[in-house]
Amino acid sequence: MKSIIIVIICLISSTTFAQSNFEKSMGQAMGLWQSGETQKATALLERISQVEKDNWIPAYYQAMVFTTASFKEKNKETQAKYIQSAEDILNSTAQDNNPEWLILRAMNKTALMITDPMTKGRELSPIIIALYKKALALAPNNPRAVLGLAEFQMNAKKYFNQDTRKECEDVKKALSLFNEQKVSIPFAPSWGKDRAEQLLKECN
Amino acid sequence: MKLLLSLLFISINILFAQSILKGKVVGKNGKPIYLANIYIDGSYDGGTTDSLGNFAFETNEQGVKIIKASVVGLPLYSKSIQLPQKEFLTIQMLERENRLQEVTIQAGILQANSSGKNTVMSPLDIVTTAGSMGNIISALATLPGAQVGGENGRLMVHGGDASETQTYINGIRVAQPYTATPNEIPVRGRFSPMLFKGVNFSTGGYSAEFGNALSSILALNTENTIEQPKTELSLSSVGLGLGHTLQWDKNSLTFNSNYTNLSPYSKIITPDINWTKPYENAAGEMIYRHQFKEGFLNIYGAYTFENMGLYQADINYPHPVPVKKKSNNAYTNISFSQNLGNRWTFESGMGLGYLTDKVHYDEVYLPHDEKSIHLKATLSKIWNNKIKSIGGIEYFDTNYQEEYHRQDLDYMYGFQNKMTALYTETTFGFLPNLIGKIGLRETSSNLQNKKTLEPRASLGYALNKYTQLSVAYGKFHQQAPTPVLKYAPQLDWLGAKHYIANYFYARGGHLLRLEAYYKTYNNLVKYNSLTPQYNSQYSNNGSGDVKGFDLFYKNSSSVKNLQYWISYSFTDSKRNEANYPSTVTPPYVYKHSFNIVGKYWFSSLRSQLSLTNAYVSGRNYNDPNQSSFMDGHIRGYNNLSMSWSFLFSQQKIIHFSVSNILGASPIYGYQYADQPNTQGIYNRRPIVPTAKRFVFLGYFWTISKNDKDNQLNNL
Repeated sequence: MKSIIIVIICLISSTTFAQSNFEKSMGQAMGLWQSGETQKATALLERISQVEKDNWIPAYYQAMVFTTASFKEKNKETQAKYIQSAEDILNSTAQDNNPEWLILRAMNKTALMITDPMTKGRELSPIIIALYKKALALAPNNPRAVLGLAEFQMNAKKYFNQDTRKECEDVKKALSLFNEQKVSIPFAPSWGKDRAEQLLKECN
Repeated sequence: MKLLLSLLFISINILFAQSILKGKVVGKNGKPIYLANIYIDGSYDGGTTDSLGNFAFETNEQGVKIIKASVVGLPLYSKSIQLPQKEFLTIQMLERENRLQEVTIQAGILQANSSGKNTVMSPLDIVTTAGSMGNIISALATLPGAQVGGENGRLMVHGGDASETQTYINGIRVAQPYTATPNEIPVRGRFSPMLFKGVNFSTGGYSAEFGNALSSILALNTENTIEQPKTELSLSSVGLGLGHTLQWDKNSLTFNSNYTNLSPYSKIITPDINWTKPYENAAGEMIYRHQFKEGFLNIYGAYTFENMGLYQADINYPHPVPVKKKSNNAYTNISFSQNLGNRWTFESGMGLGYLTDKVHYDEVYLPHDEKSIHLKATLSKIWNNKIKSIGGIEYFDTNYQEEYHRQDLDYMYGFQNKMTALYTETTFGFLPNLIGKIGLRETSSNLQNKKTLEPRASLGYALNKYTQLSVAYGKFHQQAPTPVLKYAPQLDWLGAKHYIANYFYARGGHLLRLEAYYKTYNNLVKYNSLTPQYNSQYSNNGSGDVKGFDLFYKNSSSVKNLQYWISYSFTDSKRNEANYPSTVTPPYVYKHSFNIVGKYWFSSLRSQLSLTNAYVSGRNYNDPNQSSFMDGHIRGYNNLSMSWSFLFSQQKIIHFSVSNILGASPIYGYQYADQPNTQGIYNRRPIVPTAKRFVFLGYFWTISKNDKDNQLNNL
């Protein structure tokens, strides 16, 4: 009897331990990311990812950290390395029907485009728009897809002094979608509300 | 119960007994690696190295486990270890095994691709280079080693003449790469630069995959991706264009049509050309692409109709001569590539060309037609990380017929050329920083009735991440150029040998390329008349050599929004060919050519300003009034061109461009009378540009499908 109890307790504790280990490590990675420790954050996410093989979340964040880091990076070589690393991760698993994955892919292509917009804009901007649109086709109410496309088109239009009213409407729609969104799985992407609020300010 | 709890604790403690793993990660050279990710496979336990390469982390894992280390740019390290491990671990990470990608051979290669560290410019650069007017050939003329004759617009490389360069699209030969023009008016490349993702321009020593060219290969590659749907409109001072792309599933289909008519332009800008029929060009293009699971199909078809008529000066005629030319050209290029698995790739293609050209020169009527087929199949295999090979076979069939009619004189001549070639090439990555390539090509033709064997070899060595040295050697053959071959198809193969040494440095936004070469020619064509004629006597007794060097420097990072490049070529060419009595510098070669290209992006004006300054030193010419042969020298000339592109919106571009702003009056050469006049003097006429300047104003509009619903249905 005792041994059965022990076994059961052990099983429970080890499963809860594993659960919390994922959450604890993910939390740790998010902390590293927030404090600007790009390499340490991606290293930890890589470690989580190789254990949680069926979970796309750690790989998603690994690519996300690289992509966002590339926007801030001044050194051209490091920047190219970040963009490439993110792209390698995004290419390593087939997530073609995952809207979040497609949105991140679009962001990664945007990062690549702005390294040399004169040369790459013509080739990449239709690809970026197509990625957002595919994400929207799969999940019409995904606030990040609505926001991402609106922001991308807004930037282009602002450059050419064109009217961005339509995009502003989309940002408003995204904001209301952000307020409705429910996080179903732990660490599922939920970012973007701040960005939408900020963009909306620029609209007025 | 207490007992139970304590038991539980003990068991947990035993189960999760922690040990500390310590060690260091170093590179191949023993230097510590910073920020390497080190972990136990399948567990969360791990850490990152500090700036000294040291790591330490706690683990609960026990027994034989795999430890892994990863860092961007190096292959994943893995090794099994026994846990707990008390000893200090030293992990040495290896260099990437994929050595073939580390070094590239730069000798004789200039790339204009969208990406890649060895590329010297992007396809967009070609369009935005002032003076190029959207012509690939003109933009290439600003690169080292290339020259374009002002009077004919054709590409000449490393001292060779215009017939020594062959053009390929997706590995398939383009029989007629240039538009048709009357004499002394420069031709253009037939293809829009925007069609191509990659332009590989060889200045010599090129791959065994290509042949029948003594000097150079221009290999244009289209993109292997399905295009996005769009409509494109263009309106310019010389014509209009319309293009539309459809896309469904894994297919895209593009139609382009262009109509050019110099009639309005010539009335306003160049009234001094005496057109009877201003140049007119109607062209249609179709591109179909299909993506297979492991393959790609690209079908390109084009049809061009050209028509023109004018009066041209000719020293042998008392009055300007009426010239008329009408030309029809159809070209199909099909290429297919398939990944066969196990690192085997199959590529095949077919090119079909048909040209009819009807020329009237005064009383002479000179129609000709050319039909050509090119079939090609290449198999490539990556054997391992150090060796890859290609092997292939190709077949060319060219049927050229020309007629000469003048009053009651009628001739017909031409040739049918059937040529088969086998080629193979293997690349070895001896060391991570050393690469070698050996190739062999065998060609046979029904005309020469003998085989040529062409060995090619090159070697590349990377001094460091940024600097590469390379050398190339090769034997090259070519049939006599068409203007001669049509009269004398039995002529033997012309031969050349290339020796090239190259220094290449690319770091950040700086690129420096130096190339020195020596080229020898044998079996060049000689004849005993002023120009190649029906009844001339031809032989292969000519010879020659060229020495030279090229310099290229490009900077795209020192000043924000500015990029510029400088190229200089020194060409010392000596040949005994054609009707030369001795070995001289031929009249088509410029000894020095110097180009500066600058492009600046004005953010606030959403405009790009591009300036190109091209200088060439004078050429030689032969004056039959002098006893010494080819002893005349013409002054060099300078050409400053400017272009302004304004992005009206993302989809709307206005492009304005002017050549020869400073109004230089170059002389390309002289035409001397065939016979002396009554005083015994040969009269002459300078060969000059037909128009001093070319002015182009265009409006380009791209309409992407904006309708959301339709767009979604397309995806």
